[in-house]
Amino acid sequence: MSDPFETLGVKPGASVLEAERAYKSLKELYSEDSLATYSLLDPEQRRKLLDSLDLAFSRIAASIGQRHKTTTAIPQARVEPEIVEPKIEDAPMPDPEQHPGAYLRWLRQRAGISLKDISERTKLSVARLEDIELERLDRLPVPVYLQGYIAEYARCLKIDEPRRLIDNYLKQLPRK
Amino acid sequence: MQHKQVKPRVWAIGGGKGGIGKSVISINLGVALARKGHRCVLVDADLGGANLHTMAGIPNPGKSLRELFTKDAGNLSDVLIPTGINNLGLISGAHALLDIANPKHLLKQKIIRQLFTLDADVVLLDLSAGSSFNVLDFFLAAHEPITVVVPTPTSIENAYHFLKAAFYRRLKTAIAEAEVGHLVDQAKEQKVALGIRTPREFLQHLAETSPEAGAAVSEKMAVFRPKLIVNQVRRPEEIALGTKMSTACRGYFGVEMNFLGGIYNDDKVVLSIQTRKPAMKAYPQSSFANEINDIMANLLANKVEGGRV
Repeated sequence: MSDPFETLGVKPGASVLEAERAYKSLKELYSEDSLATYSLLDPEQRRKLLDSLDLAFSRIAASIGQRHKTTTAIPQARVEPEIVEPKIEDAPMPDPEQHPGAYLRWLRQRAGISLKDISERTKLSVARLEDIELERLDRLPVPVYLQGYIAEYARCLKIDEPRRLIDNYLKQLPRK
Repeated sequence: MQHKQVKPRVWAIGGGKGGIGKSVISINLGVALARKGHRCVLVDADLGGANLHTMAGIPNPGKSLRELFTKDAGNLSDVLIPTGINNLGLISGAHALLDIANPKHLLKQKIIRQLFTLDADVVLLDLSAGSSFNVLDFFLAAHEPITVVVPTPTSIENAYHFLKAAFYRRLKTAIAEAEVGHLVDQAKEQKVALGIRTPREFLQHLAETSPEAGAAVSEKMAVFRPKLIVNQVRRPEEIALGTKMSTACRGYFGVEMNFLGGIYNDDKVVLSIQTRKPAMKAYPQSSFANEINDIMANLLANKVEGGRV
């Protein structure tokens, strides 16, 4: 497994902001309509590179998010390369009405499924799934896509009535 | 002129595509170097399509590389002619007929060897379009292998094709030199099964499976440091192509490709070709001249990297 910081071309222990900036610009660089790479890569190479970026960024984001919970100060130390999600069997269930994203995360972690597994089944990137879980509203796609993504995710977790969850989620979005 | 025999640095300008300004950049870099007091020899290696002499305002160079091919001259230095600009000499490719555009391997090796013995500070090679072995061997031999690209899909495609061809030719030599052919063959067999898609992944895999072979090959490949110039820029955002391509090369080849700078499209350059006076000489205060000077300074700052195969 290669070092996620190296994959994104940032210094080891870079802040999540730096990592995010690098991640976004690399995603753009390797996007299908990028003039700078479209004649360099075949579709399979492109997909692999994009996946490795998703994985690298999600690992950095996850590790930093985790430290936020346990320490008050932003950690300066180098982040451990292997990230183990915390055991949260005892964590209280988030309110699905108020925090549908956190609820999805809670369900997933209780079932012991990694984001990567969900990503493989739904074909959604790990970073995208994480945006949904953490309710990063400004990063989410327009509702018409978001609905589909949440439905896919909910199906993986065998949620019986995804419609209610989707409606709850859409209520979180700022009104236009 | 002070008499100190130093080994010249060899810069080669390539890029895969024709009409992207390789010759214009070569001659103007040459003039820029000469004006700064660096003794420079321009070599028109665009055999079959040579025109540096015309750009330099020399209608009929008395001697050219042709004399080496016809054996009328024995050494590269015998066909060196003055350009009328102090410190700047030219080895022309004029009248090199098509059948000698592909010189025999031994003669090519001899010319490459002699490039490094010319009495100059910098030897500047203007290469042909295309990615033939003849072009690649000059490119790879240089201390500074420079790729020119213009911001069009066709030029970018040719530039990557050129870089891939150069990379694999260099890799082949590295594997042969490191005498690790059998280990590389093993790694190649596993390539498909492991889903290895890029040269960088292949080298990583080689390093993991046979650390010794991986280290030997990586060490040889580390000297391959191509550089990049983005030419004929029309909009400021097109300059970013340089950094983007260099990042993409790192991801794909695992090779650093330094971006040397961008050159804006300038009518003065076209005019300078029509009047057969290098723009650097005719318009030394232009922004074109500044861009060439910046690129020259970036190249001169490099003293250690690269080198002869």
